[in-house]
Amino acid sequence: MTPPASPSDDALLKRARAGDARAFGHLVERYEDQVAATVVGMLGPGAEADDVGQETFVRFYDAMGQFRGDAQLGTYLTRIAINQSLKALDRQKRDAERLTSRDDEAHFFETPAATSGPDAAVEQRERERAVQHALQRLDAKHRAVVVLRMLKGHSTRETAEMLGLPEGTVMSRLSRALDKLKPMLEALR
Amino acid sequence: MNDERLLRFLEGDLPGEEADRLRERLERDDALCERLEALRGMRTLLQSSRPASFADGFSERVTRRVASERAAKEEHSVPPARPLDAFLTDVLYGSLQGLFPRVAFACLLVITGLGAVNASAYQGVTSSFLSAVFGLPSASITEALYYAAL
Repeated sequence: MTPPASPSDDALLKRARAGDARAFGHLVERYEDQVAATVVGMLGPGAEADDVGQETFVRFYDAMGQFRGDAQLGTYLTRIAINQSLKALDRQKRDAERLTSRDDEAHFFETPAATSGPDAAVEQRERERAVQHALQRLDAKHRAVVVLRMLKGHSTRETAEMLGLPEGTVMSRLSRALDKLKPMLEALR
Repeated sequence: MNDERLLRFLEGDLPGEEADRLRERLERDDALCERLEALRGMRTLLQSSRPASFADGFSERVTRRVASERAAKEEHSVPPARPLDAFLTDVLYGSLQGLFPRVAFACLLVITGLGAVNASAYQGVTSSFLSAVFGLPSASITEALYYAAL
């Protein structure tokens, strides 16, 4: 006996709009990794990323009635996630200007430790950590392009649409971002 | 050549002819080849990062947050605006119902007062007593105009 096919996004959306909390929960489970890739890429792992991830789905819940399905649900959620992440980065920047703690900043941008041990999993974790640290050194507008275009694998056109930019600007920002990342990631390659 | 074009080449975004020209150039230009490889390596490194995920129970946290925000919204929600007809019925009509008897009573008092003044001043020369009480003129408009013209 074959297991029942999981309901489509449209079916879940319809039920969620009608107030079915379980259907909404299924949608969250289905797309949380996509949202995490965007939010964690933008903010780094931690409580703030989790909070922004939640906020993304809360916004989506409030706007479900207006979602007409012009874009794929994943793309729509990514757009909300990137906007919420940019807002969070703005807040971080304002807070940092008000009460900057140089120690914290130094810790945040700490150079990743060199790969320790032969274990491939450890090596992979270190590499990811290094990539995260390098990403955090980019300013928000360049980081957003790298996250969407390189980490999430959206096309240049999709990235441009999500950020409301011309495709040429996306490519030039990506090129500039990679220039900055190059020296930071050189040792890992 | 800038990295942007190399990146477009890697992404398959360069138009056919331009891509062919670049391929030819890459066969001759070792430095350009190295730059392309560096770019490819970095792209692979970024793309090979393990997909990030939230801590366990994320879906439950979202559902709880949605529920609590909804409850907070309902608690602080303002009652919906009443339609115009209900407003007119309840407020204007109600107010006018109370206002009209008061105005009518005030008018009656004024008329009675003026009538009493007129009655006390009546001398019985030019008009009847009733006309004098209600302040009716003792001359017609035509007569008034005639006197005015004089």
